[in-house]
Amino acid sequence: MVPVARRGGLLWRSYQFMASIKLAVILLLGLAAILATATFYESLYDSKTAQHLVYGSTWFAAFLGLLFINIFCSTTIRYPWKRHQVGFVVTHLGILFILMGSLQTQLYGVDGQMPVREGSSEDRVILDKPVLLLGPSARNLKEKPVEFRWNPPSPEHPFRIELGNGVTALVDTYLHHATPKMLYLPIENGEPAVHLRFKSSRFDMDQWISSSQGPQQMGLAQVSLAAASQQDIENLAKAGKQPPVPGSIGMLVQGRPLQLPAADFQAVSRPLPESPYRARILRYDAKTQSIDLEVSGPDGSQVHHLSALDSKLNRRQPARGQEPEVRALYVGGEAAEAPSGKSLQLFVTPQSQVYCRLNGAPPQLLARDVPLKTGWMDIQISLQEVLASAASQETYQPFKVRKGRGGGNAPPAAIRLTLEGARQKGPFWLQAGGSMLESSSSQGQPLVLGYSFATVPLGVRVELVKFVIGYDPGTRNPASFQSTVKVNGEEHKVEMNEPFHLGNYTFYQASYEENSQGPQVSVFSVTCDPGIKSKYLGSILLVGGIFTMFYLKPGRRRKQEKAVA
Amino acid sequence: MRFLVLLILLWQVCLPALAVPQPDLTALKLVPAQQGGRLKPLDTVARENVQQITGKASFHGEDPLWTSLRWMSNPKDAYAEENVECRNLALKAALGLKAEQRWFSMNELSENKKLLDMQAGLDKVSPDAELSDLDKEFEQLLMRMQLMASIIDGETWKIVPNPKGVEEPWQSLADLKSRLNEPPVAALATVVGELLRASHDKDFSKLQSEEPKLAPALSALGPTPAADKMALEVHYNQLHPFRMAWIFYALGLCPLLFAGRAGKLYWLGLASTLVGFAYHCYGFYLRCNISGRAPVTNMYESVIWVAFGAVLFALGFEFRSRARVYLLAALTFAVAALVMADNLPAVLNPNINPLMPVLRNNFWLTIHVLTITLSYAAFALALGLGHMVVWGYAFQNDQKERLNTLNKALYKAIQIGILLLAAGTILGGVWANYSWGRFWGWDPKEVWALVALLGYLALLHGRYAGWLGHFGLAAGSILAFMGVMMAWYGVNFILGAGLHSYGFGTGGGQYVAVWAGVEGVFVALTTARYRTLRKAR
Repeated sequence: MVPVARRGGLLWRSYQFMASIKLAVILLLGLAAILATATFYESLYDSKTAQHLVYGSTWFAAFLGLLFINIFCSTTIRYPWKRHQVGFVVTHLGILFILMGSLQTQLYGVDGQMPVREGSSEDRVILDKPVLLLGPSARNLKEKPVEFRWNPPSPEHPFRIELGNGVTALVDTYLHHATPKMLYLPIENGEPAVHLRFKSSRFDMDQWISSSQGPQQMGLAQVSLAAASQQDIENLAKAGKQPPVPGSIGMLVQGRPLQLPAADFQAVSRPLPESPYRARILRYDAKTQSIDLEVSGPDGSQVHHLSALDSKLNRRQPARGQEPEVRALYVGGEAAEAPSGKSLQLFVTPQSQVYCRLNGAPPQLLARDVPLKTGWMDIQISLQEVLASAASQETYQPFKVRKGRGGGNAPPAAIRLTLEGARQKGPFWLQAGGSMLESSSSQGQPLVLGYSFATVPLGVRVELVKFVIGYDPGTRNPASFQSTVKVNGEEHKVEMNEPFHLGNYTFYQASYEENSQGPQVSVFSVTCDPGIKSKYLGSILLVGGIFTMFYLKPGRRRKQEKAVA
Repeated sequence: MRFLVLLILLWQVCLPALAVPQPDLTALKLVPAQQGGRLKPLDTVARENVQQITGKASFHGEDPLWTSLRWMSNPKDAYAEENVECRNLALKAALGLKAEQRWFSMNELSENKKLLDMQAGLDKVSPDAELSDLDKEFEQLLMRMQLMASIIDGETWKIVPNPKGVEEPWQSLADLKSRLNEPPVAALATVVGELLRASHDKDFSKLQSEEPKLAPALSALGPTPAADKMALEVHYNQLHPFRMAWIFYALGLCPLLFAGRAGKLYWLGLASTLVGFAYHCYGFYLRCNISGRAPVTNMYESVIWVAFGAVLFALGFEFRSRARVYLLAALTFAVAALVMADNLPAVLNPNINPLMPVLRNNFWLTIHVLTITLSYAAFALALGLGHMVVWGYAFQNDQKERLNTLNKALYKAIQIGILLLAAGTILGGVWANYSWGRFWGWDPKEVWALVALLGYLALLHGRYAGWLGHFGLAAGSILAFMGVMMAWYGVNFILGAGLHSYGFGTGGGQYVAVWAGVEGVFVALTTARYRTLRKAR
């Protein structure tokens, strides 16, 4: 460049400008300001936001490029170099090498994760880059990189992807951290469901309760829901406060065995799962430990007299109409109560009225939005919504990440999409790394769609033979992790600060997933860094150059010696 | 010199005279206990416990071990004594406690209706929700109360060795109740019983005749660590070498402030500095031997180490150049840093705790962190010298020769700082590449080390470009130190983000901000004065 540029010309002057120390000062201060701002962004949001906005952005690369040119020109403009400039040249050459190495890493490097379960093996590295997987079958999938986070789609501006065969996927919602949530929608021939709000001075939460869930333990109380006729409610009211029937009832329903708590059938007829029959206890005698169980079907009913003391005493009354295909046995037991003795039974009538029964007391009508005192601490319940016939549907809601946690344990992202030109339109939800969606085009060609992360094939399988955690004496604080992996029949150890090299890839012990039986999954961080040699060379030059500049001062000392002489 | 000796004597004589009557528990202090993932003498356990409960290293001037023993031997009095610290005014108001009172009794706290209500409320908060500041303070108080209860029950004294090995889990005195049928355990129980009885009766002569019996009774139950290591730690606890260091540095600073370049006072200051430096070195020798690693693994250690580095560089430069300007700058910083480390245990925790796995690599830990922190030390020295230069140009403009010396000194300090910070940051990259698999990942700690370096590089380049003169370089070295503060303290305590999470903490942010503001005003005012002076000429 030097001989080409004519001194004084435009080219020469721009060369001089690019090589000037004043530009260097401005770039240094500018870089410092940019970086400082970026770290505050990272603290406020997370490291991926900072990466996206600054470190990984094109303008930041261009800024570093400008710095590179400035350093390059300031070095070349001083050519031919004099002795006392050795330190200066070496130092700045070092920075150039480091910048070049960084570019190489950014362009060609691999930085991913590989979780391996104990006893199994993996051959792909998972990158932190979301992709859509699409193809005709789960074995034949293509990866299509998508990043919705910075530009999320909306129902007004959906993201369109052609899937072939005339099918188009329209992604209309993106949640960065999403948790599944059950929604209940009214349908015909469904089950009753109610939406309740539990409120106290300590908490305020809402929850859907449906009959299909069975009794649920919520805090200290057992909560259950059943469909009931107006007659059932009257029976309950007549029965007054009665203790729950202890023990359980064993049944053979159309040849299928079934065992359910007896208290479930008390006073209210309860459907027997996957059968046309219902059952209820008409009478309970604590002294003889016997019950009268009425089993009714669409075409007839029968009363069973069952004794827990001696099954020989069991009798069946003659059936009215067709005899239900049900055999029953009463297994008595300790007075079975909810652990704290607190129970909340809810009944939904065909007229969508909700009755609630607290601790076995007579049923009370639960009006919408009128809080009912439960008498358990200061908890009040109120009815938000009732559906006499509903079905549950899985949907996703945003998950709020606690600040300072960095989102390490936060659930992955989820997208909602509809399929245009497919047999099942949706909407469907896909969670990153979760299960895939199978559908077919209107002509019947199968199609599979998934939301996951990009992967890179390793070329070999890596098997996790063993994973061991060492602890600090007398505590459960992990002191060391060690994985034993098997590659091509040979065993290797991977530890904290002791990586394992495999071809161009390096395996680092990153973390682990543990359950009650001990560690199950060892997570490796797998990298391939083609720029590292350039960076190391640059580092050595940089430090050596600074040292030479500050402390050796070649040339200068000689001058001083000459002056003395 | 005589003055110094007198002061030391006074110090040594005054301390015991102030103390309350208490037993001498020399043998008991050495008994090893397993706590917080390492083996430490009971002396340390008691110190940490008493510090946490009362917020004071020594409660009412008592030996912490005696305080613990007093609590354990007489639960009734321990529960009735006002000893649990609660300083937060908002929390005291919420609990209806007296605002001017600092310590509260366990009885008062556990019968406090509002406290019980608040505790029930805290239990209901989901673990993912963010706690309010009041709740955080309250949680701290609950933890102190819980700890106090377990101290009284003897649960914090995990002194019963495990026959399977020193590293296996040990048992506490409270765990022994089910093992009383074993003869050695029964023998131990007798010794412990006698100890507690003597403590309860405050029968000091009995206590002192009983206390040496505990260690043999314990070692009958399993292997115990070498006694000399425990002795070393007790010695470290009692000597307070870093406190001695700052006292002598402060003593050295006084004559240096008035010395100028005159003979006698300077030598007096230098001598006191050397005594302080000897304590400083000895303290590190002890601490490294106890922990088995380089002394730069948390904020407390790094503050002490940076103070050490500043004095080390100052002494080195002083012996080479005889400029007589370095010590004043370094000592001011060192005294400030060491006094802080000595008095803010809540922010700068002096306890020795095990390291997280990724840091357990002595080679890289030592080489990377020591280099980085030494660069902070050099910049701290430059900060002190920068103040002297700026002050000189603004108010003592006639002392040309002194200012020249100072300028050269400042330049040298910045140079060594830049070399060490560049080398340290790169070494960090090498370690990160070796341990995490990437050389540079734009982690906030890495980025701020780079920002600090860029600040000083901009200063040097600005100087070459002719934009900064001597005064500008000095003023710049004060401002550029804010980058160092951010990399050193801010990333861990203000940003709280990134992979260097093992050093995270809270507290002190306001003070650092105020200090940064004061420095800014100082630089602005001196710059204004310097400009007027120059124009006038």
